[in-house]
Amino acid sequence: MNEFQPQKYSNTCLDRGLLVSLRDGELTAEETRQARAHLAECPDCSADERSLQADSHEIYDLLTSLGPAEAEIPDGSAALAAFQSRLAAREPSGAAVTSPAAGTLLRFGSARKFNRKRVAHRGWWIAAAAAVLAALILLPPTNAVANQFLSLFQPHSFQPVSVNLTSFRTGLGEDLQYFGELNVTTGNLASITHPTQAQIQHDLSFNLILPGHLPPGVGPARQFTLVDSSEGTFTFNAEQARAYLDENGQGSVSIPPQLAGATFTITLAAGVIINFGKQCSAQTQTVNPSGSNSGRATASQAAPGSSPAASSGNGTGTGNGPTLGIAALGCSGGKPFYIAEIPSPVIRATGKASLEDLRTFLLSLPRLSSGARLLLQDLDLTSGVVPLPIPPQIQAQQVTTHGVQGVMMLDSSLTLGAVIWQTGGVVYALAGATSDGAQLMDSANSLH
Amino acid sequence: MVSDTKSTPLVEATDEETFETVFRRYYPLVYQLAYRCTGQREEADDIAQEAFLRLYRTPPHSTSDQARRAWLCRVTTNLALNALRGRQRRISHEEQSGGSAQAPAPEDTARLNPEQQAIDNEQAAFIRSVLAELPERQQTYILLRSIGLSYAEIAQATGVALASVGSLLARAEREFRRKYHERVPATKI
Repeated sequence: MNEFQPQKYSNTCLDRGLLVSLRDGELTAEETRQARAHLAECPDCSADERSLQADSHEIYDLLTSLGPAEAEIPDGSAALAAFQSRLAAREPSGAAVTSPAAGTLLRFGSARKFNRKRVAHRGWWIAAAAAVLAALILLPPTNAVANQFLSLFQPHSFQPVSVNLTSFRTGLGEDLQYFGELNVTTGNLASITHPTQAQIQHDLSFNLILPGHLPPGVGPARQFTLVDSSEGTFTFNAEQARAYLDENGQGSVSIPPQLAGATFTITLAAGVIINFGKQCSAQTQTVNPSGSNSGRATASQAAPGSSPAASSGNGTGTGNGPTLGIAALGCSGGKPFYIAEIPSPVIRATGKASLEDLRTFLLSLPRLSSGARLLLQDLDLTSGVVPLPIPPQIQAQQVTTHGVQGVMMLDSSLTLGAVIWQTGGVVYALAGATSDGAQLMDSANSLH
Repeated sequence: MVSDTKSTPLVEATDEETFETVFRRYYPLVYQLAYRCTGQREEADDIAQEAFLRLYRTPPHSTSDQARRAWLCRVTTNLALNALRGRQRRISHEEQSGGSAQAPAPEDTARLNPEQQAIDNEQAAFIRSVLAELPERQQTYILLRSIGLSYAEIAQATGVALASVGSLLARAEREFRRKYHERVPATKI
């Protein structure tokens, strides 16, 4: 501890924080010796210390009385067995999870193996991760969660696939909410209006990394925007779906019996978007996936359904080059530049039907948009390849950064570029007003 | 193409510890923290299970004991405070719609007679209500301290500087005590 500064114990009285540290044995031996020496000579501090001791007993006795008593803490073996059951129930495909009955150790190493077994779901995770990014960057804040959920089957991923922009805009062509109910709960970050970098790191489940190099023309000031955590559960309602299909001339579509009552969940941990400029306001805002923003709402959003390219020339950024749809979150000057670090959402089939069942059903819908159909078909649940929609004017190429493959997208006509990749369960994306691929890759590689 | 096996190292290569070992070591602590927040056995167990599920899926980068303990406590506190907020929302909603909802009382414990148990439950609910009046960060500091986390662990769990923990804790304790005595005559304790 270096809480104890020399001036605090030579002539001036000890502050309460230091006395608390002394009480808790958190000072170094030398600091403790000096504090004790001061207490021996200073009646005021000595009285403060006695008072603090009494207060502490009172406070922590009260908190301890909240329980639980040691005897009331459940047995670890039973809790572990319950955990394994829960894990197996949540991950029906996770056959690699040791059954509780087998009594075999669950190793972190086996978690890695388990994850490989779950590769069939990886594509959906990545698709959803990209969809969340898209929802944040492309869609208006209102109704964002519904869009995220629908976006589950919309384009985005890391395997470039040419798409027709019109079909991209029309999304699924069907509204999933006609087929069931979507319930979404969000996290508690919306109350944080001025997080520091340390606070942001505290709220993330992964290590925040920052660029060592920025593309030329990008200002060095930065502002953080928290993306709140959320969990959405979609429950398929066969009766409702049947009625909708019958009413809309799709009576010939059959609904697989296992979809009745089937549930699918998407879990999104907290993430962050970093905005760079020459000057940034002190205020940092939090984006709640349910659509409500806290803090200063300066975001300029693209029109609903607009594409990155379509919105890119119409932002309100004050930079020199073309701006993005979310330009000027709080930074101005220089070329707009953003970095998003969002944990890969976890999409799970939590009921009796699999994600493949849901996909097959969606593909059987006559009104499914051609874009969504193409992308759903291209989603490879076995290998984890997920299609990333690339409008015709965008050049896309696979790149390697941080030891994994990602995709770089450049639009030279609008001087826009982006790189997206996934590693360690986190999707990283850089986007800005530059179509210089080398500069973008330099920034991507410098994240640490 | 993105390869899952290449791109998602869940743990560091040097990590040889079994998940079971980690679970057994920290479950009591995590449960204790969750229960201290919620006062409900089932809810506390749910929260503890969820915290370990997150550890299993996305463990922290560091595999040191201190880092894991701090990480688990952070996740557990967030989950527990989230659960409490959800509970409070439901109560407010039910009250607005004319219901007579109230916070669930802490559950029975076999060691007490019914009368003493009722008194203790009421007292625990009261202490939790005082705690809930503090800013969440202050709640977190004293809850983590109350279950025995060191300053280094509190700093790691909350993202504050180690050197600030003593002062932050002092402020949180003072605030808790002040709010408590606003509602309870000082002579009571």
